[in-house]
Amino acid sequence: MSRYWGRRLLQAVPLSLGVVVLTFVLIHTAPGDPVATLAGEQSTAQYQTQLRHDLGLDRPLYVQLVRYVAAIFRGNLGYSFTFGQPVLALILARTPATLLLMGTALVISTILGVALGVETATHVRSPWWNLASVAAAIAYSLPAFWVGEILILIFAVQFRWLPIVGMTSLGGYSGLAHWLDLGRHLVLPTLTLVSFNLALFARLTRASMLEVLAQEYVVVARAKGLTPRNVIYKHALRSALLPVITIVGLNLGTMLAGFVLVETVFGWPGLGRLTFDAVGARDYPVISGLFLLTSEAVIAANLLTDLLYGIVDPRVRYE
Amino acid sequence: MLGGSIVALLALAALCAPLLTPYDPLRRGGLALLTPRVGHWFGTDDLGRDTFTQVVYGMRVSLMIGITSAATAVVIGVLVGACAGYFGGAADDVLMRLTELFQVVPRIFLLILMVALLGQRLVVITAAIGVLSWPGTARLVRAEFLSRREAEYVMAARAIGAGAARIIFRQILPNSLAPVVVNGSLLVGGAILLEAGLAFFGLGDQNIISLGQMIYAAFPLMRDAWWASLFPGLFLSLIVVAFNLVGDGLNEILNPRALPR
Amino acid sequence: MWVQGLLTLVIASLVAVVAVPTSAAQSPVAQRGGTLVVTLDADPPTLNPALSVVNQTFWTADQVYETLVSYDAAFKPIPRLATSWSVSPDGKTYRFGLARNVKWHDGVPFNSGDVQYTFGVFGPKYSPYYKTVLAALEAVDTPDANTVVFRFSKPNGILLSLLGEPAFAILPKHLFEAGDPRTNPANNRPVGTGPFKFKEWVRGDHLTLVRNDQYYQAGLPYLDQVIYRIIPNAASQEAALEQGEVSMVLATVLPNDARRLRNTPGIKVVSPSVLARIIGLWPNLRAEHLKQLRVRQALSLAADRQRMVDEIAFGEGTVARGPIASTSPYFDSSLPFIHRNVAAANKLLDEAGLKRGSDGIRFTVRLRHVASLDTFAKTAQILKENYADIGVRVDILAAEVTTTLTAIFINSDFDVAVYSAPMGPEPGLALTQYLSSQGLTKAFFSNAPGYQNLRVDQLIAESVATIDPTKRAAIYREIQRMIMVDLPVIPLWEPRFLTAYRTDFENVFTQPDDRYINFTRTWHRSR
Repeated sequence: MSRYWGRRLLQAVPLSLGVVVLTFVLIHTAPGDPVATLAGEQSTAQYQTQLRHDLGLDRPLYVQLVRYVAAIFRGNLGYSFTFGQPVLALILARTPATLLLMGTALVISTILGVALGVETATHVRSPWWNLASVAAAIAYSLPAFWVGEILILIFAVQFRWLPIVGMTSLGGYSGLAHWLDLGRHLVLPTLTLVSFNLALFARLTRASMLEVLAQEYVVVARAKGLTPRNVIYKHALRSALLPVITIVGLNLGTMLAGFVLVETVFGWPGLGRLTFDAVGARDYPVISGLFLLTSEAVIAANLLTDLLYGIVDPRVRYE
Repeated sequence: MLGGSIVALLALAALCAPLLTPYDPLRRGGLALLTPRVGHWFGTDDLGRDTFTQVVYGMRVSLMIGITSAATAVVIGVLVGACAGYFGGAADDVLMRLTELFQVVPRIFLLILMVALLGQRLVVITAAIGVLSWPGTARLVRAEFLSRREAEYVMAARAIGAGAARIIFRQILPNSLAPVVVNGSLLVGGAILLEAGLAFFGLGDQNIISLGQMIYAAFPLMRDAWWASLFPGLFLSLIVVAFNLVGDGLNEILNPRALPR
Repeated sequence: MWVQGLLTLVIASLVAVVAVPTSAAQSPVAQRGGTLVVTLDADPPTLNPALSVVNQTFWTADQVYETLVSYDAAFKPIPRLATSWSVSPDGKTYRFGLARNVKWHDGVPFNSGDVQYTFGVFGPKYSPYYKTVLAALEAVDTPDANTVVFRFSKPNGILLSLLGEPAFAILPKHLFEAGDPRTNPANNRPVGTGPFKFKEWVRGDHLTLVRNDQYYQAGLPYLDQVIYRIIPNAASQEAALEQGEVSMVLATVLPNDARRLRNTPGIKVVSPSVLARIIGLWPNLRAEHLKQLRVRQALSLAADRQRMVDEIAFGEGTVARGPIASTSPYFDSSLPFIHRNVAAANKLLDEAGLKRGSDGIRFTVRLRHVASLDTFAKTAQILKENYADIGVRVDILAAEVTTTLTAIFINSDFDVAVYSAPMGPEPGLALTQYLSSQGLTKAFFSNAPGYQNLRVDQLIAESVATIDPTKRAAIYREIQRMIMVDLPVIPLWEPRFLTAYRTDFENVFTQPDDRYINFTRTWHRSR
């Protein structure tokens, strides 16, 4: 088992490097010069040339690439001139906000989604089946940012129940008031994200459960006289969850898309918004840094899910 | 199949767009920001263009993008998956690592990057979405090929000297198409949403109207012109829902195991 | 919940304010105290205005740092760190008397050495704006601690119009002279001489400044604090203003909301602008059809400017008549309005020998604009419609900012571009950059059309050397007329940058443009 792990970890390295090179190549070989946004409308030609030189942008591409990769190994992801901070610090500063939103949304949608999936899988002949199917298909199909807009329109603008944007209000609450305020701001963006993810998890769980329930060992367990509830939750669910976990891991990239859009609509100060601002400003260091870190996160998540798979399912064997 | 009928209806509407409305989607057709009324069923936008017309023409664009990118993704995915699954060994390793790379990388990042850097043209957008959507199909196809590689009919074909390409395309592929088709219809929905997401970032093609762009343009007008975001969003969702329902339906038909006995 | 409580409080105070009759004869006495909350749509990249090129830095740092002069609403220079000044008749020597008893926020006394450092040492090496304005500055002398003399190699008529730019804020020599100023921690924790001191900055959330109790102008400032709230979305900023969470939305009010805000009691909407931007169609004079004057005239006649103002700006704007907007003190009001005339435009194109093909198209132009700017995008779309009427097909190439700017300025890869250049505060500088032969540098923000007119070059050079503002204005008028004859830029319309603020604050925006905004004399009427 540990040999397998060693191999997997080793494979992750060239993958990560591949990501870095990919970003770098994409960004640097396309037209567009960040000096345009950095120098300002009233700068002279000499200043622009000087700036280009100071940023190392006039060196040949391979030199820039080598310097970049070397710096990464030292933990230096570069300096962002649009945001005036070292890239790593910038990204780390924005991560908690995104984690908060992501975490809340994921936890809620996982619990609800799995529950919904199990229910619809085990009560196939009820009218719930069709209703739930269609509802899930709808929720899965709505563009997240549109849903977000509509929610803002209804709850924040029309009814003024919830704040329109941002993560906290002015006033610097402390203690319990602070958490309540945070909570109020969390509601709408979480709702938007949950509606999408919930449907996804429900569908996946249902499909997986159905397959498992049809399996022989389930039939055997039933025959042994175990209560249906026991069968479902103790045995079937555990095996059903495995492919779900794997697919979720692989789909993290897609889910990230939803976060970028939702963060923008709700003005949530996280990594999603940072992405777009950085792309617009051609802030190479930030873009590369974001790309690298999120890809690493997904790779790590995949490794983790594989680990989970190996531990939970005794049938799986790795050389 | 509910999904199928919706798709058919919408496609028909989109194709017959000029018959349904006298207005040009890109030209002013009335006063700006009119509420929905007779003659302008969905109202007008801030440049005086009829919203209903824009929705109908926009559906054309969304359908086209969705189907074309999904088709591109499927073609690439099938090729990659087939080669990986059939040839195995080193080819499999390399191709799978490549697939992993594209799967791991957050799509939206790459998409924004590609479109922002290569130009906001319809062709670029469609190609980019297609190019970034193949990993799922590739994995599916590879799994199918892996399991069928050693089947009897394949060995028979090899025995009579059929070349690899022939075996792949004539023998194994036709039997593996079911999950690919299901996946494909789901891809259409995903592609349409991706394009809408891009448009929401202002990265759409400015020369045509798409539903995503309409939602984007309507964002600052939210409070004054609710119809400008409601209708495009509604129809966008409708198209995507329809394709997803089609995918679900196809899944039920082609994968009988999915239903309990 | 607390929101309703706050709302009630705000409404109550507004009602109280309105109910108290104010006499027009007496001006109310300024009260000390209060917090002004201003919205920012993004964090400033740095708090050093001498190193920054973005408004967010200027709006915040201008309360902490000070320039030598400031401006009144009519764009006349008024004293700030410089209390008096004189110019030599030949325009080459400027002498400034500095304010006394000024201390930096860390207690170190301010003197002429700081001015000398800022302009003589720091500026030439690090400031983006410096060389554009002060290339001819030979020396900065400090005869004594309270006097500074600028000596130029060529006559400079416009120095006073530019010294008030936040980019020329005076920096503390004792903090910046050692090491690389660009990585100096003072860039994020500024120490200035201004009425407000830096207190804290929580990125992505807020930036707080507090009153400088040692400020050298006695009794000022009135406010206790100025807090900048980072709210990236304009609609949310406005909602926050209406709900009383913030006091001022600076320069980002959406035009479609302006009317509603104007009609809201307790809120005022203003848009002073001496930077005088117009949105124009910039032709590439090297391109095949655009090199013909008739074609440019036709494009100018076919554009529906009024529709742009009505539909894009919801009336919050003006049609443009020249390269400099009508808000500039140097605008030539004798320039005629350009009315849309499709027939005349068609005739011009026929005369130019550009016949319509069988599809009705005479020729195609590639139009570039920065995709993320809505006003440009919509202008482009209206132009596309307009030009279809005269047989010109428009291919819109929208791309993100650096790609577009690189294509326009560096590669000259465009036929026309929808673009906006600031033509103020002193048009002479912008004209040199964008429309003179000196600007043919293929750098960003240079002469993209490729325009060369020797007479205009001469006039521009003369304008920046003319000390007398009246004489200068006359030269500018002539330049504007000549540009409207040659059409190296086709003016379309003038956008407004709208600011809205709560009227329980007085003296909030007395400067001629949001770039110079300064809350030294702002006070809060609490009763």
